[in-house]
Amino acid sequence: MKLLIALGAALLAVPLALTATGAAPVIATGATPMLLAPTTYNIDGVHSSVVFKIQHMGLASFYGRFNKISGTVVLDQDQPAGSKVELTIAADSVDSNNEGRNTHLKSPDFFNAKEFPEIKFVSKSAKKEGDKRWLLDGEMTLHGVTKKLSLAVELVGAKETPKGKLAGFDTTFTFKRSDYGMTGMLDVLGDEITVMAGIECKGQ
Amino acid sequence: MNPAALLVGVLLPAAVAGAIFFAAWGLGSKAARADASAPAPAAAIAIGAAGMAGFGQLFGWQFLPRESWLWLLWVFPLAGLLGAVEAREGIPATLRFGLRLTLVAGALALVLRKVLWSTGGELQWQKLAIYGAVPLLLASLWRALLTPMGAVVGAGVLWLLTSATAAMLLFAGSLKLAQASGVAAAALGALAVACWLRPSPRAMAGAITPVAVVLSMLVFLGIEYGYAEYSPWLFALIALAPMFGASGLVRRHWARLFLIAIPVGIAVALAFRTYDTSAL
Repeated sequence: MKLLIALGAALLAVPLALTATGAAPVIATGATPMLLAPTTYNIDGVHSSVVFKIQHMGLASFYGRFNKISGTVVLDQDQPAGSKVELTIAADSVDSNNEGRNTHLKSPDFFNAKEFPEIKFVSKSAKKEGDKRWLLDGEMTLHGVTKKLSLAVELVGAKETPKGKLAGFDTTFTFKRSDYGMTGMLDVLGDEITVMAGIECKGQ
Repeated sequence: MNPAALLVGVLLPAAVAGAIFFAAWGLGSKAARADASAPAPAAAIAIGAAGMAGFGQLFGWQFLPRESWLWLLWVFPLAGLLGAVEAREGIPATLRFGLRLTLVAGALALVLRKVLWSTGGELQWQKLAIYGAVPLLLASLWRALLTPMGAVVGAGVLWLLTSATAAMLLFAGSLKLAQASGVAAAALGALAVACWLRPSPRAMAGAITPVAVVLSMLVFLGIEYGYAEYSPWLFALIALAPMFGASGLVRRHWARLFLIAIPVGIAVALAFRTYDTSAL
């Protein structure tokens, strides 16, 4: 009996100790243990991807990517409205797998990256629409133009790992580049851009 | 940009400049064509009006644009107006220099203010000195070299320099800046035709200061906002090419034009070497 009491006390002590050291309590929800307390994460640019798709000459979809991604995510599962995302992409990190084309994309013909070095998304409100689905309303700044943008985001996972608290999100959205004043070569390259982002972040 | 829009963007400035020359130089009248002393301010006004029309047609009429290079829309008329005053006969040399200085300062403030003032609000004196001096020097140099070559060859040289700058900017990966240079070249094509009908070197010279300022601003924008590794020395080779035509070895004006075309061609060929066509 004493042994059972000792075991019970030891089990109770684990979450108490975790809370005391600042780690969030964890509950199991299926395969992914979810962190419940509001947690601030830094976006891990090395494990995150932002890929874009654009039509070339009405013939084929062309894919490019951005190589420098940073920002912060505040994830509050209990009070979703308190969640927040700030994502910054370096415009001059655009990578189309061709150096000459990268130079052209960064020039005033497209991103004008020296004048508008950052592409930014800042959420203004967050709603949870299911177990893993979130809806973020915010503003995207691209090419010096700021416009409202709504993102449907899937929380792929959020858990404690040997590397610390990690969380990952996926989102796909579409916008017209001409709405942001990017009107270069509209006859050759499509106006509609589809962005696919996989963002991994690490708890602070 | 589709070819039809590009064609309109080139034809419109040529037509606007042509209409101004037709009216101001009386190109419809035989008596006016026989008189070589055409009104000098018309060339500057034609370049300014045609440049603004072509630029607005190609890139939209954004009167308060967000992007620095789009302020070129205002550089054209500014160059046209101040260039027209500067081109008037009997203007004192100090006033002429003051007008050029005002024009260069205005153009720099319009298109390069974000570059000349750092984010901390400090003025970049070295850049200001270089970017201010180049158009002033070119305006003086070209005026001294081109006016003696006659109206038609002088206008032809201006057209050649502007077209070569457009090609260089294109090969440097700045299609829009190249198109803006092409707008100026279209207006200068109309000037060449007008000078052929009424060959007045003084009247042709009215276009020199506006062209020197506009071309310099286009190149500076390419340097500051572009990413291609093109050398400003290529523009120097183009801009200084008229010196090759000033050689005493050649007397015929057309032969001088040919001599000037050689360094210009070399500069364009060198720019083309860096042009990556694989992604077109």
